Amino acid sequence: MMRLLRIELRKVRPSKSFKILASMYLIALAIICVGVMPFFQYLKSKFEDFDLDGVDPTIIPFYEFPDIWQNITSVAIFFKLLLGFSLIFSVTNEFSYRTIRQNVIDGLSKREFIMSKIVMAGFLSLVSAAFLFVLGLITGFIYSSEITFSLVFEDAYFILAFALQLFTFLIFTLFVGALIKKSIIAMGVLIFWTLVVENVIWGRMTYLGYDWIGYLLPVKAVNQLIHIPFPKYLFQEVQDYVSLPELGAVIGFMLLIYWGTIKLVEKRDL
Amino acid sequence: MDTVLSIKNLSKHYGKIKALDGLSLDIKRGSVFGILGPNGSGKTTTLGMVLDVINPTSGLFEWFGQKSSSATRKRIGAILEHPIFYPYLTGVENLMIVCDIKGVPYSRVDEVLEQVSLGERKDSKFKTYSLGMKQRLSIASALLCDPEVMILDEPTNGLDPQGIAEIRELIIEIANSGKTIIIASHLLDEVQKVCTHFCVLQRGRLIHNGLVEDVGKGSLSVEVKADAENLEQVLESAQMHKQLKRELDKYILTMEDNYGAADVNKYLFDNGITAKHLVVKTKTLEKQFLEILKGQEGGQS
Repeated sequence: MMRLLRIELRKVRPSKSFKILASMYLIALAIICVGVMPFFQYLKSKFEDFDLDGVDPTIIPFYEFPDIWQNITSVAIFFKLLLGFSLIFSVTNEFSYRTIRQNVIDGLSKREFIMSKIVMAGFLSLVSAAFLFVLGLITGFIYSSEITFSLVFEDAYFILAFALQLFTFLIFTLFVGALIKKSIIAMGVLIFWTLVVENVIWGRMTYLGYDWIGYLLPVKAVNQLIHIPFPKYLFQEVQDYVSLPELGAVIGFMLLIYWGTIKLVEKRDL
Repeated sequence: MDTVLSIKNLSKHYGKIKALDGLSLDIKRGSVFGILGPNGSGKTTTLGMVLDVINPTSGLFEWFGQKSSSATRKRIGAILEHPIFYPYLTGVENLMIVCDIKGVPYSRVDEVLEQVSLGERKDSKFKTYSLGMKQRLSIASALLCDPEVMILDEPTNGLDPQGIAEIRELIIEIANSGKTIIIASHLLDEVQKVCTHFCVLQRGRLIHNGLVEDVGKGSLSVEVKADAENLEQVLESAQMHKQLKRELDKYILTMEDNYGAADVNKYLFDNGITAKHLVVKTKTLEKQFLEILKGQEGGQS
Protein backbone atom coordinates (compact mmCIF):
# COMPACT_ATOMS: atom_id res chain seq x y z
CA MET A 1 0.00 0.00 0.00
CA MET A 2 2.84 2.37 0.86
CA ARG A 3 4.45 1.38 -2.43
CA LEU A 4 1.30 2.37 -4.34
CA LEU A 5 1.07 5.67 -2.47
CA ARG A 6 4.75 6.36 -3.18
CA ILE A 7 4.22 5.71 -6.91
CA GLU A 8 1.17 7.96 -6.94
CA LEU A 9 2.90 10.80 -5.08
CA ARG A 10 5.83 10.61 -7.48
CA LYS A 11 3.39 11.02 -10.34
CA VAL A 12 1.43 14.00 -9.03
CA ARG A 13 3.93 15.96 -6.96
CA PRO A 14 5.60 17.81 -9.86
CA SER A 15 2.29 18.27 -11.69
CA LYS A 16 1.18 21.90 -11.82
CA SER A 17 -2.54 21.33 -12.28
CA PHE A 18 -2.60 19.05 -9.27
CA LYS A 19 -0.75 21.53 -7.09
CA ILE A 20 -3.01 24.40 -8.09
CA LEU A 21 -6.25 22.50 -7.49
CA ALA A 22 -5.10 21.00 -4.22
CA SER A 23 -3.95 24.34 -2.83
CA MET A 24 -7.16 26.03 -3.97
CA TYR A 25 -9.03 23.38 -2.04
CA LEU A 26 -7.01 23.84 1.14
CA ILE A 27 -7.41 27.62 0.93
CA ALA A 28 -11.17 27.17 0.52
CA LEU A 29 -11.24 25.00 3.66
CA ALA A 30 -9.28 27.61 5.58
CA ILE A 31 -11.64 30.37 4.47
CA ILE A 32 -14.73 28.63 5.86
CA CYS A 33 -13.01 28.09 9.13
CA VAL A 34 -11.92 31.63 9.67
CA GLY A 35 -14.22 33.56 7.35
CA VAL A 36 -17.73 33.06 8.72
CA MET A 37 -17.37 35.27 11.78
CA PRO A 38 -16.17 38.31 9.79
CA PHE A 39 -19.12 37.66 7.47
CA PHE A 40 -21.51 37.68 10.42
CA GLN A 41 -19.95 40.91 11.65
CA TYR A 42 -20.45 42.39 8.19
CA LEU A 43 -24.11 41.27 8.28
CA LYS A 44 -24.51 42.80 11.71
CA SER A 45 -23.22 46.17 10.51
CA LYS A 46 -25.59 45.98 7.53
CA PHE A 47 -28.53 45.15 9.78
CA GLU A 48 -27.63 48.12 11.94
CA ASP A 49 -27.79 50.28 8.83
CA PHE A 50 -31.36 49.10 8.39
CA ASP A 51 -32.22 49.79 12.03
CA LEU A 52 -32.46 46.10 12.80
CA ASP A 53 -30.36 46.36 15.93
CA GLY A 54 -32.12 43.45 17.52
CA VAL A 55 -30.78 41.01 14.96
CA ASP A 56 -27.22 40.07 15.78
CA PRO A 57 -25.84 37.14 13.75
CA THR A 58 -22.60 37.17 15.70
CA ILE A 59 -24.33 35.59 18.63
CA ILE A 60 -24.96 32.51 16.50
CA PRO A 61 -22.64 29.92 18.06
CA PHE A 62 -21.22 28.83 14.70
CA TYR A 63 -17.74 28.19 16.07
CA GLU A 64 -18.66 26.84 19.49
CA PHE A 65 -17.76 23.35 20.57
CA PRO A 66 -19.33 20.95 19.87
CA ASP A 67 -21.52 22.53 17.16
CA ILE A 68 -18.47 23.59 15.18
CA TRP A 69 -17.79 20.07 13.92
CA GLN A 70 -21.09 19.61 12.14
CA ASN A 71 -21.03 23.25 11.00
CA ILE A 72 -17.64 23.25 9.34
CA THR A 73 -17.85 19.75 7.87
CA SER A 74 -21.24 20.39 6.29
CA VAL A 75 -19.85 23.50 4.63
CA ALA A 76 -16.44 22.05 3.76
CA ILE A 77 -17.98 19.19 1.77
CA PHE A 78 -19.31 21.73 -0.76
CA PHE A 79 -15.76 22.20 -2.00
CA LYS A 80 -15.24 18.53 -2.78
CA LEU A 81 -15.47 19.21 -6.51
CA LEU A 82 -12.13 21.02 -6.43
CA LEU A 83 -10.42 17.97 -5.01
CA GLY A 84 -12.41 15.76 -7.37
CA PHE A 85 -11.00 17.68 -10.34
CA SER A 86 -7.44 17.06 -9.24
CA LEU A 87 -8.13 13.33 -9.09
CA ILE A 88 -9.90 13.38 -12.46
CA PHE A 89 -6.82 15.02 -13.95
CA SER A 90 -4.55 12.41 -12.50
CA VAL A 91 -6.72 9.55 -13.83
CA THR A 92 -7.55 10.88 -17.29
CA ASN A 93 -3.92 11.89 -17.87
CA GLU A 94 -2.94 8.27 -17.40
CA PHE A 95 -5.29 7.37 -20.23
CA SER A 96 -4.39 10.22 -22.57
CA TYR A 97 -0.62 9.77 -22.05
CA ARG A 98 -1.24 5.99 -22.18
CA THR A 99 0.95 5.67 -19.12
CA ILE A 100 -1.56 3.25 -17.59
CA ARG A 101 -0.60 0.87 -20.38
CA GLN A 102 3.10 1.29 -19.67
CA ASN A 103 2.49 0.89 -15.91
CA VAL A 104 0.80 -2.46 -16.56
CA ILE A 105 3.56 -3.53 -18.96
CA ASP A 106 6.14 -2.61 -16.32
CA GLY A 107 4.51 -4.91 -13.81
CA LEU A 108 1.58 -3.22 -12.09
CA SER A 109 -1.65 -5.22 -12.29
CA LYS A 110 -4.75 -3.33 -13.44
CA ARG A 111 -6.22 -3.83 -9.99
CA GLU A 112 -3.08 -2.42 -8.37
CA PHE A 113 -3.30 0.55 -10.70
CA ILE A 114 -6.85 1.31 -9.54
CA MET A 115 -5.79 0.67 -5.95
CA SER A 116 -3.00 3.23 -6.30
CA LYS A 117 -5.59 5.85 -7.25
CA ILE A 118 -7.86 4.75 -4.41
CA VAL A 119 -4.99 4.93 -1.94
CA MET A 120 -4.36 8.44 -3.23
CA ALA A 121 -8.05 9.31 -2.72
CA GLY A 122 -7.79 7.98 0.84
CA PHE A 123 -4.64 9.98 1.41
CA LEU A 124 -6.26 13.19 0.15
CA SER A 125 -9.36 12.57 2.29
CA LEU A 126 -7.31 11.99 5.42
CA VAL A 127 -5.11 15.03 4.83
CA SER A 128 -8.19 17.23 4.26
CA ALA A 129 -9.91 15.82 7.35
CA ALA A 130 -6.80 16.33 9.47
CA PHE A 131 -6.41 19.87 8.14
CA LEU A 132 -10.04 20.63 8.89
CA PHE A 133 -9.69 19.09 12.35
CA VAL A 134 -6.75 21.32 13.22
CA LEU A 135 -8.52 24.41 11.84
CA GLY A 136 -11.64 23.45 13.80
CA LEU A 137 -9.69 23.10 17.02
CA ILE A 138 -8.01 26.47 16.58
CA THR A 139 -11.14 28.44 15.71
CA GLY A 140 -13.13 26.53 18.32
CA PHE A 141 -10.70 27.50 21.06
CA ILE A 142 -10.83 31.12 19.92
CA TYR A 143 -14.61 31.50 19.78
CA SER A 144 -15.97 29.01 22.32
CA SER A 145 -17.23 30.43 25.59
CA GLU A 146 -16.93 27.13 27.42
CA ILE A 147 -14.14 24.60 26.88
CA THR A 148 -14.06 21.16 28.41
CA PHE A 149 -12.57 17.97 27.05
CA SER A 150 -15.96 16.34 26.50
CA LEU A 151 -17.43 19.41 24.78
CA VAL A 152 -14.47 19.70 22.41
CA PHE A 153 -14.53 16.08 21.30
CA GLU A 154 -18.21 15.25 21.73
CA ASP A 155 -19.09 15.60 18.03
CA ALA A 156 -15.60 15.34 16.61
CA TYR A 157 -16.65 12.13 14.84
CA PHE A 158 -18.15 14.42 12.20
CA ILE A 159 -14.58 14.82 10.99
CA LEU A 160 -14.41 11.07 10.36
CA ALA A 161 -17.76 11.17 8.60
CA PHE A 162 -16.39 14.02 6.51
CA ALA A 163 -13.34 11.93 5.56
CA LEU A 164 -15.65 9.09 4.51
CA GLN A 165 -17.83 11.48 2.47
CA LEU A 166 -14.82 12.88 0.68
CA PHE A 167 -13.31 9.45 0.07
CA THR A 168 -16.53 8.07 -1.42
CA PHE A 169 -16.96 11.12 -3.61
CA LEU A 170 -13.36 10.83 -4.82
CA ILE A 171 -13.89 7.19 -5.74
CA PHE A 172 -16.93 8.32 -7.69
CA THR A 173 -14.82 10.87 -9.58
CA LEU A 174 -12.25 8.14 -10.19
CA PHE A 175 -14.98 6.06 -11.79
CA VAL A 176 -16.13 8.97 -13.95
CA GLY A 177 -12.52 9.64 -15.00
CA ALA A 178 -11.87 5.99 -15.84
CA LEU A 179 -15.14 5.78 -17.75
CA ILE A 180 -14.69 8.90 -19.86
CA LYS A 181 -10.89 9.12 -20.12
CA LYS A 182 -10.88 12.71 -21.46
CA SER A 183 -10.16 15.24 -18.72
CA ILE A 184 -12.31 18.16 -19.84
CA ILE A 185 -15.31 16.02 -20.76
CA ALA A 186 -14.99 14.04 -17.55
CA MET A 187 -14.95 17.26 -15.51
CA GLY A 188 -17.98 18.52 -17.41
CA VAL A 189 -19.86 15.29 -16.82
CA LEU A 190 -18.95 15.36 -13.15
CA ILE A 191 -20.25 18.93 -12.73
CA PHE A 192 -23.36 18.22 -14.77
CA TRP A 193 -24.14 15.06 -12.86
CA THR A 194 -23.49 16.55 -9.43
CA LEU A 195 -25.20 19.91 -9.88
CA VAL A 196 -27.90 19.21 -12.47
CA VAL A 197 -28.86 15.56 -12.96
CA GLU A 198 -28.99 14.58 -9.31
CA ASN A 199 -30.66 17.82 -8.24
CA VAL A 200 -33.37 17.56 -10.88
CA ILE A 201 -34.14 13.93 -10.07
CA TRP A 202 -33.94 14.59 -6.35
CA GLY A 203 -36.09 17.72 -6.53
CA ARG A 204 -38.78 16.03 -8.60
CA MET A 205 -38.90 12.87 -6.51
CA THR A 206 -38.94 14.61 -3.12
CA TYR A 207 -41.66 16.89 -4.47
CA LEU A 208 -43.66 13.74 -5.17
CA GLY A 209 -42.90 12.56 -1.68
CA TYR A 210 -40.33 9.87 -2.50
CA ASP A 211 -37.73 10.91 0.05
CA TRP A 212 -35.80 7.65 -0.28
CA ILE A 213 -34.41 8.88 -3.62
CA GLY A 214 -31.51 10.45 -1.70
CA TYR A 215 -30.23 6.95 -0.99
CA LEU A 216 -30.10 6.03 -4.68
CA LEU A 217 -28.11 8.98 -6.01
CA PRO A 218 -24.41 8.62 -5.22
CA VAL A 219 -23.54 12.27 -4.65
CA LYS A 220 -26.78 12.98 -2.74
CA ALA A 221 -26.13 9.93 -0.60
CA VAL A 222 -22.68 11.29 0.17
CA ASN A 223 -24.00 14.77 0.92
CA GLN A 224 -26.81 13.66 3.22
CA LEU A 225 -24.43 11.84 5.56
CA ILE A 226 -23.91 15.14 7.38
CA HIS A 227 -27.10 17.19 7.51
CA ILE A 228 -26.90 20.93 7.11
CA PRO A 229 -27.29 22.21 10.66
CA PHE A 230 -28.03 25.90 10.11
CA PRO A 231 -31.85 25.77 10.19
CA LYS A 232 -31.51 24.96 13.88
CA TYR A 233 -30.45 28.52 14.50
CA LEU A 234 -33.91 29.41 13.23
CA PHE A 235 -35.31 26.99 15.80
CA GLN A 236 -36.02 24.16 13.34
CA GLU A 237 -35.55 20.47 14.00
CA VAL A 238 -32.25 19.21 12.48
CA GLN A 239 -30.66 15.80 12.55
CA ASP A 240 -27.48 16.46 14.48
CA TYR A 241 -25.96 12.98 14.29
CA VAL A 242 -24.85 10.48 11.64
CA SER A 243 -27.61 7.95 11.08
CA LEU A 244 -26.85 4.31 10.36
CA PRO A 245 -28.96 3.88 7.18
CA GLU A 246 -27.29 6.95 5.68
CA LEU A 247 -23.87 5.63 6.66
CA GLY A 248 -24.82 2.28 5.11
CA ALA A 249 -25.81 3.99 1.84
CA VAL A 250 -22.44 5.75 1.61
CA ILE A 251 -20.47 2.58 2.31
CA GLY A 252 -22.67 0.69 -0.15
CA PHE A 253 -21.97 3.20 -2.91
CA MET A 254 -18.28 3.13 -2.07
CA LEU A 255 -18.08 -0.64 -2.56
CA LEU A 256 -20.29 -0.60 -5.64
CA ILE A 257 -18.24 2.10 -7.37
CA TYR A 258 -14.99 0.38 -6.39
CA TRP A 259 -16.24 -2.86 -7.93
CA GLY A 260 -17.50 -1.05 -11.04
CA THR A 261 -14.20 0.75 -11.61
CA ILE A 262 -12.16 -2.44 -11.29
CA LYS A 263 -14.47 -4.28 -13.71
CA LEU A 264 -14.41 -1.37 -16.14
CA VAL A 265 -10.62 -1.22 -16.33
CA GLU A 266 -10.01 -4.97 -16.26
CA LYS A 267 -12.37 -5.54 -19.17
CA ARG A 268 -10.87 -2.79 -21.27
CA ASP A 269 -7.96 -3.15 -23.72
CA LEU A 270 -5.40 -0.53 -22.82
CA MET B 1 17.47 -24.35 -24.16
CA ASP B 2 14.31 -23.74 -22.21
CA THR B 3 11.29 -21.87 -23.46
CA VAL B 4 10.80 -18.31 -22.30
CA LEU B 5 7.49 -17.60 -23.96
CA SER B 6 5.05 -20.19 -25.16
CA ILE B 7 1.95 -19.07 -27.07
CA LYS B 8 -0.86 -21.51 -27.82
CA ASN B 9 -3.62 -20.77 -30.25
CA LEU B 10 -3.88 -17.10 -29.31
CA SER B 11 -6.61 -15.09 -31.03
CA LYS B 12 -7.94 -11.56 -30.87
CA HIS B 13 -11.06 -10.63 -32.77
CA TYR B 14 -12.54 -7.16 -33.05
CA GLY B 15 -16.00 -8.01 -34.26
CA LYS B 16 -15.48 -9.65 -37.63
CA ILE B 17 -11.89 -8.51 -37.95
CA LYS B 18 -9.38 -11.11 -36.85
CA ALA B 19 -6.41 -9.08 -35.63
CA LEU B 20 -4.77 -12.32 -34.59
CA ASP B 21 -5.99 -15.75 -35.54
CA GLY B 22 -4.78 -18.85 -33.73
CA LEU B 23 -1.11 -17.99 -33.22
CA SER B 24 1.13 -20.65 -31.69
CA LEU B 25 4.76 -19.86 -31.07
CA ASP B 26 7.65 -20.84 -28.78
CA ILE B 27 10.52 -18.54 -28.03
CA LYS B 28 13.68 -20.08 -26.59
CA ARG B 29 15.95 -18.53 -24.01
CA GLY B 30 18.90 -16.64 -25.44
CA SER B 31 17.43 -16.14 -28.88
CA VAL B 32 16.88 -12.83 -30.60
CA PHE B 33 13.48 -13.33 -32.11
CA GLY B 34 12.16 -11.10 -34.86
CA ILE B 35 8.44 -10.84 -35.52
CA LEU B 36 7.99 -9.63 -39.08
CA GLY B 37 4.89 -8.57 -40.85
CA PRO B 38 3.40 -5.73 -42.79
CA ASN B 39 1.60 -2.98 -40.89
CA GLY B 40 -1.60 -4.29 -39.36
CA SER B 41 -0.53 -7.92 -39.43
CA GLY B 42 -0.99 -8.37 -35.67
CA LYS B 43 2.51 -7.82 -34.29
CA THR B 44 1.63 -5.22 -31.67
CA THR B 45 -1.64 -7.00 -30.84
CA THR B 46 0.35 -10.16 -30.08
CA LEU B 47 2.82 -8.32 -27.87
CA GLY B 48 0.00 -6.41 -26.16
CA MET B 49 -1.70 -9.66 -25.27
CA VAL B 50 1.39 -11.39 -23.89
CA LEU B 51 1.98 -8.25 -21.79
CA ASP B 52 -1.60 -8.32 -20.43
CA VAL B 53 -2.71 -4.94 -21.77
CA ILE B 54 -4.99 -6.47 -24.41
CA ASN B 55 -7.43 -9.17 -23.39
CA PRO B 56 -7.25 -12.19 -25.72
CA THR B 57 -10.45 -13.47 -27.33
CA SER B 58 -9.16 -17.00 -26.85
CA GLY B 59 -5.95 -18.93 -26.40
CA LEU B 60 -3.22 -19.24 -23.81
CA PHE B 61 0.32 -18.14 -23.22
CA GLU B 62 2.93 -18.80 -20.57
CA TRP B 63 6.00 -16.87 -19.48
CA PHE B 64 8.88 -18.91 -18.06
CA GLY B 65 6.53 -21.90 -17.83
CA GLN B 66 4.04 -20.10 -15.55
CA LYS B 67 0.76 -18.32 -16.01
CA SER B 68 1.35 -14.66 -16.76
CA SER B 69 0.99 -12.25 -13.83
CA SER B 70 2.37 -8.94 -12.65
CA ALA B 71 5.22 -10.97 -11.12
CA THR B 72 6.29 -12.41 -14.49
CA ARG B 73 5.99 -8.97 -16.09
CA LYS B 74 8.50 -7.61 -13.58
CA ARG B 75 11.09 -9.93 -15.14
CA ILE B 76 10.44 -8.47 -18.60
CA GLY B 77 11.53 -5.13 -19.99
CA ALA B 78 9.16 -4.00 -22.70
CA ILE B 79 8.29 -1.10 -24.93
CA LEU B 80 5.20 -1.19 -27.11
CA GLU B 81 4.93 1.18 -30.07
CA HIS B 82 6.31 4.61 -29.19
CA PRO B 83 7.97 5.52 -25.87
CA ILE B 84 5.43 6.30 -23.15
CA PHE B 85 6.39 8.42 -20.16
CA TYR B 86 4.96 11.23 -18.04
CA PRO B 87 5.82 14.30 -20.16
CA TYR B 88 6.00 16.70 -17.21
CA LEU B 89 8.50 14.53 -15.29
CA THR B 90 12.24 14.34 -15.91
CA GLY B 91 13.98 11.24 -17.24
CA VAL B 92 15.14 10.34 -13.75
CA GLU B 93 11.71 10.88 -12.17
CA ASN B 94 10.10 8.72 -14.82
CA LEU B 95 12.57 5.91 -14.25
CA MET B 96 12.10 6.11 -10.48
CA ILE B 97 8.41 5.35 -10.96
CA VAL B 98 9.41 2.28 -12.96
CA CYS B 99 11.80 1.32 -10.12
CA ASP B 100 8.91 1.54 -7.65
CA ILE B 101 6.68 -0.55 -9.88
CA LYS B 102 9.27 -3.23 -10.52
CA GLY B 103 10.81 -3.17 -7.05
CA VAL B 104 14.29 -2.25 -8.27
CA PRO B 105 16.76 -0.11 -6.24
CA TYR B 106 17.04 3.52 -7.39
CA SER B 107 20.78 3.12 -7.90
CA ARG B 108 19.97 1.36 -11.18
CA VAL B 109 18.59 4.60 -12.67
CA ASP B 110 21.97 6.24 -13.19
CA GLU B 111 23.49 2.98 -14.42
CA VAL B 112 20.98 2.45 -17.22
CA LEU B 113 21.02 6.13 -18.19
CA GLU B 114 24.79 5.86 -18.64
CA GLN B 115 24.32 2.67 -20.63
CA VAL B 116 22.14 4.43 -23.19
CA SER B 117 24.27 7.63 -22.98
CA LEU B 118 21.50 9.83 -21.66
CA GLY B 119 23.34 10.94 -18.53
CA GLU B 120 23.64 14.56 -19.62
CA ARG B 121 19.92 15.11 -20.13
CA LYS B 122 18.63 13.02 -17.25
CA ASP B 123 17.22 16.00 -15.36
CA SER B 124 15.38 17.50 -18.32
CA LYS B 125 11.66 16.98 -18.68
CA PHE B 126 10.66 14.10 -20.94
CA LYS B 127 8.67 16.39 -23.24
CA THR B 128 11.85 18.26 -24.17
CA TYR B 129 13.55 15.09 -25.46
CA SER B 130 14.16 14.40 -29.14
CA LEU B 131 12.66 11.25 -30.61
CA GLY B 132 16.00 9.46 -30.45
CA MET B 133 16.38 10.37 -26.78
CA LYS B 134 12.85 9.17 -26.06
CA GLN B 135 13.65 5.83 -27.68
CA ARG B 136 16.83 5.57 -25.66
CA LEU B 137 15.00 6.43 -22.44
CA SER B 138 12.52 3.66 -23.12
CA ILE B 139 15.34 1.19 -23.70
CA ALA B 140 16.88 2.40 -20.43
CA SER B 141 13.53 1.82 -18.74
CA ALA B 142 13.32 -1.68 -20.19
CA LEU B 143 16.83 -2.41 -18.89
CA LEU B 144 16.11 -1.18 -15.34
CA CYS B 145 15.19 -4.53 -13.83
CA ASP B 146 18.02 -6.35 -15.63
CA PRO B 147 15.31 -8.26 -17.48
CA GLU B 148 15.48 -11.85 -18.65
CA VAL B 149 13.51 -10.90 -21.72
CA MET B 150 13.35 -7.63 -23.60
CA ILE B 151 10.50 -6.81 -25.92
CA LEU B 152 11.05 -4.05 -28.46
CA ASP B 153 8.32 -2.95 -30.82
CA GLU B 154 9.68 -1.04 -33.81
CA PRO B 155 12.65 0.20 -31.78
CA THR B 156 14.10 2.28 -34.60
CA ASN B 157 10.84 3.72 -35.84
CA GLY B 158 11.21 7.35 -36.83
CA LEU B 159 14.93 7.58 -36.12
CA ASP B 160 17.57 9.02 -38.44
CA PRO B 161 20.24 6.68 -39.87
CA GLN B 162 22.67 7.54 -37.09
CA GLY B 163 20.05 6.90 -34.44
CA ILE B 164 19.13 3.60 -36.08
CA ALA B 165 22.78 2.51 -36.04
CA GLU B 166 23.08 3.49 -32.35
CA ILE B 167 19.99 1.58 -31.31
CA ARG B 168 21.07 -1.42 -33.37
CA GLU B 169 24.44 -1.47 -31.66
CA LEU B 170 22.74 -1.23 -28.30
CA ILE B 171 20.50 -4.19 -29.16
CA ILE B 172 23.44 -6.32 -30.28
CA GLU B 173 25.29 -5.39 -27.09
CA ILE B 174 22.30 -6.43 -25.00
CA ALA B 175 21.87 -9.65 -26.99
CA ASN B 176 25.54 -10.49 -26.46
CA SER B 177 25.00 -10.32 -22.71
CA GLY B 178 22.75 -13.38 -23.08
CA LYS B 179 19.31 -11.81 -22.79
CA THR B 180 16.39 -13.02 -24.83
CA ILE B 181 15.12 -10.28 -27.11
CA ILE B 182 11.86 -10.15 -29.02
CA ILE B 183 11.71 -7.51 -31.74
CA ALA B 184 8.67 -6.66 -33.78
CA SER B 185 9.48 -4.83 -36.97
CA HIS B 186 8.62 -4.31 -40.56
CA LEU B 187 12.22 -3.41 -41.32
CA LEU B 188 13.65 -6.63 -42.70
CA ASP B 189 17.16 -5.35 -42.83
CA GLU B 190 17.02 -4.62 -39.14
CA VAL B 191 15.79 -8.10 -38.28
CA GLN B 192 18.39 -9.77 -40.49
CA LYS B 193 21.18 -7.81 -38.83
CA VAL B 194 20.32 -8.57 -35.22
CA CYS B 195 18.02 -11.61 -35.03
CA THR B 196 18.72 -15.31 -34.75
CA HIS B 197 15.12 -16.46 -35.29
CA PHE B 198 12.22 -14.89 -37.08
CA CYS B 199 8.60 -15.47 -37.88
CA VAL B 200 6.29 -13.80 -40.34
CA LEU B 201 2.74 -12.74 -39.62
CA GLN B 202 0.18 -11.77 -42.18
CA ARG B 203 -3.37 -10.69 -41.49
CA GLY B 204 -3.14 -12.21 -38.03
CA ARG B 205 -1.83 -15.60 -39.14
CA LEU B 206 1.60 -17.14 -38.70
CA ILE B 207 2.92 -17.99 -42.15
CA HIS B 208 6.57 -18.66 -41.48
CA ASN B 209 8.79 -19.52 -38.52
CA GLY B 210 12.47 -20.31 -38.80
CA LEU B 211 16.13 -19.39 -38.36
CA VAL B 212 17.60 -16.27 -39.90
CA GLU B 213 20.78 -18.18 -40.86
CA ASP B 214 18.66 -20.49 -43.03
CA VAL B 215 17.56 -17.59 -45.12
CA GLY B 216 20.61 -17.58 -47.42
CA LYS B 217 20.36 -21.33 -47.89
CA GLY B 218 18.31 -23.24 -50.38
CA SER B 219 18.10 -22.24 -53.97
CA LEU B 220 20.83 -20.08 -55.40
CA SER B 221 20.39 -17.16 -57.76
CA VAL B 222 22.76 -16.46 -60.61
CA GLU B 223 22.77 -13.31 -62.71
CA VAL B 224 23.96 -13.58 -66.28
CA LYS B 225 24.72 -10.99 -68.98
CA ALA B 226 26.11 -11.75 -72.40
CA ASP B 227 26.17 -10.21 -75.88
CA ALA B 228 24.33 -13.02 -77.59
CA GLU B 229 20.88 -12.94 -79.10
CA ASN B 230 20.13 -16.56 -78.34
CA LEU B 231 21.11 -16.27 -74.64
CA GLU B 232 17.60 -16.89 -73.44
CA GLN B 233 17.09 -20.04 -75.53
CA VAL B 234 20.46 -21.41 -74.46
CA LEU B 235 19.72 -20.77 -70.80
CA GLU B 236 16.31 -22.40 -71.22
CA SER B 237 17.83 -25.45 -72.83
CA ALA B 238 20.37 -25.90 -70.04
CA GLN B 239 17.64 -27.14 -67.68
CA MET B 240 19.59 -26.04 -64.61
CA HIS B 241 17.07 -23.59 -63.26
CA LYS B 242 13.79 -23.60 -61.48
CA GLN B 243 12.97 -20.19 -62.75
CA LEU B 244 14.31 -17.84 -65.35
CA LYS B 245 13.57 -14.16 -65.23
CA ARG B 246 14.66 -11.26 -67.36
CA GLU B 247 15.53 -7.95 -65.75
CA LEU B 248 16.50 -5.32 -68.34
CA ASP B 249 19.67 -6.63 -69.97
CA LYS B 250 20.35 -9.45 -67.53
CA TYR B 251 18.81 -12.83 -66.78
CA ILE B 252 18.30 -14.13 -63.29
CA LEU B 253 18.33 -17.87 -62.80
CA THR B 254 17.02 -19.48 -59.67
CA MET B 255 19.07 -22.64 -59.71
CA GLU B 256 18.03 -26.26 -59.21
CA ASP B 257 19.85 -27.99 -56.36
CA ASN B 258 23.35 -29.25 -57.20
CA TYR B 259 23.88 -26.68 -59.92
CA GLY B 260 26.09 -23.65 -59.45
CA ALA B 261 27.45 -20.67 -61.33
CA ALA B 262 30.31 -22.73 -62.73
CA ASP B 263 27.86 -25.09 -64.46
CA VAL B 264 26.12 -22.18 -66.08
CA ASN B 265 29.40 -20.71 -67.23
CA LYS B 266 30.56 -24.00 -68.73
CA TYR B 267 27.28 -24.63 -70.49
CA LEU B 268 27.25 -21.16 -72.03
CA PHE B 269 30.84 -21.51 -73.17
CA ASP B 270 30.13 -24.93 -74.73
CA ASN B 271 27.32 -23.27 -76.64
CA GLY B 272 29.56 -20.52 -77.89
CA ILE B 273 28.48 -17.76 -75.57
CA THR B 274 30.90 -15.84 -73.39
CA ALA B 275 29.29 -14.35 -70.31
CA LYS B 276 30.38 -10.82 -69.58
CA HIS B 277 28.68 -10.76 -66.23
CA LEU B 278 28.14 -13.70 -63.92
CA VAL B 279 27.19 -13.06 -60.26
CA VAL B 280 26.04 -15.39 -57.52
CA LYS B 281 23.38 -13.78 -55.34
CA THR B 282 22.63 -15.00 -51.84
CA LYS B 283 19.08 -14.36 -50.86
CA THR B 284 18.29 -11.52 -48.50
CA LEU B 285 15.62 -11.71 -45.85
CA GLU B 286 13.75 -9.11 -47.82
CA LYS B 287 13.54 -11.37 -50.80
CA GLN B 288 12.57 -14.36 -48.71
CA PHE B 289 9.98 -12.31 -46.92
CA LEU B 290 8.41 -11.14 -50.13
CA GLU B 291 8.45 -14.69 -51.46
CA ILE B 292 6.76 -15.96 -48.33
CA LEU B 293 4.09 -13.30 -48.56
CA LYS B 294 3.62 -13.92 -52.26
CA GLY B 295 3.43 -17.67 -51.79
CA GLN B 296 0.80 -17.13 -49.17
CA GLU B 297 -1.29 -14.90 -51.38
CA GLY B 298 -0.93 -17.35 -54.26
CA GLY B 299 -2.03 -20.18 -52.00
CA GLN B 300 -5.12 -18.29 -50.94
CA SER B 301 -6.39 -17.35 -54.34
